Amino acid sequence: MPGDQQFESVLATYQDRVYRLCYAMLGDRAAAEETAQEVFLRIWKALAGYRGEAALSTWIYAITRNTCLTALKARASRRGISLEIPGVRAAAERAASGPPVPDRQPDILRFVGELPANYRQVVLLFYLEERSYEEVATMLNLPLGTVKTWLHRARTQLAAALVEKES
Amino acid sequence: MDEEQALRIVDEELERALAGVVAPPYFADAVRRRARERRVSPLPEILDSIGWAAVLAIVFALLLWLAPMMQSSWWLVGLASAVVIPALYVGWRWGGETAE
Repeated sequence: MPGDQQFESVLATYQDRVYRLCYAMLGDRAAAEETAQEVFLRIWKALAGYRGEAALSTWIYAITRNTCLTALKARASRRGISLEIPGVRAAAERAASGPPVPDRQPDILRFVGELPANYRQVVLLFYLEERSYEEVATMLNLPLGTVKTWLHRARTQLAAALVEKES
Repeated sequence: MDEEQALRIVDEELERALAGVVAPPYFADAVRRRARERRVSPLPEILDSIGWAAVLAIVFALLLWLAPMMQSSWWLVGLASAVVIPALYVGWRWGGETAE
């Protein structure tokens, strides 16, 4: 089917970029993979209705951002589980008293994880997309100047965190 | 360590930490499999239409029973309705689902 061919072409061209945008917005690879698959299912359903009003990449990134925001909301509501629900408090106490999970994440990614969400997304995408300000601006639908400002502030905060760790 | 040196380390470490972040090799196959699973089937709408055709046929039979003076051409109208209306319903529902 011609639609399937078009979808295959989109999948081949954008799978890595969509995955990286999901990773930058969600912060972990498992969630990025699940959400990126959901993005492509939405694209698959909507591709026949795509009329080319916006550039294909802009359209795909908009679907990706919206799907990630939905995933973030779902994650936030899951985290909001009340401790009063039977069994939840006991499970939380067991987890808290258990052995600490070994932290294998490099320091720099831990520091990135402590940045505000907008800085974190910009800084992750900037390095994932081979330092292209324009690509980051397109993917996040932000003005180029905003991307540069946020990136500068994020790098400064990361550098300060490194200096503090060293001293 | 001064700030310039720290910024250089930030750049190097982030490039190293984020190198090769790409979709896993099985990603495209997983998407295709899930797309196949979600392909819209017309079967529920066809079954729905059979149900609606039966309802319309019963309603029309009741009308005929209650109004025996109805002209014979009404039979044709009723039978046509029992086929056309569910068919329109199927088309509308299926078209709506595929367009979502």
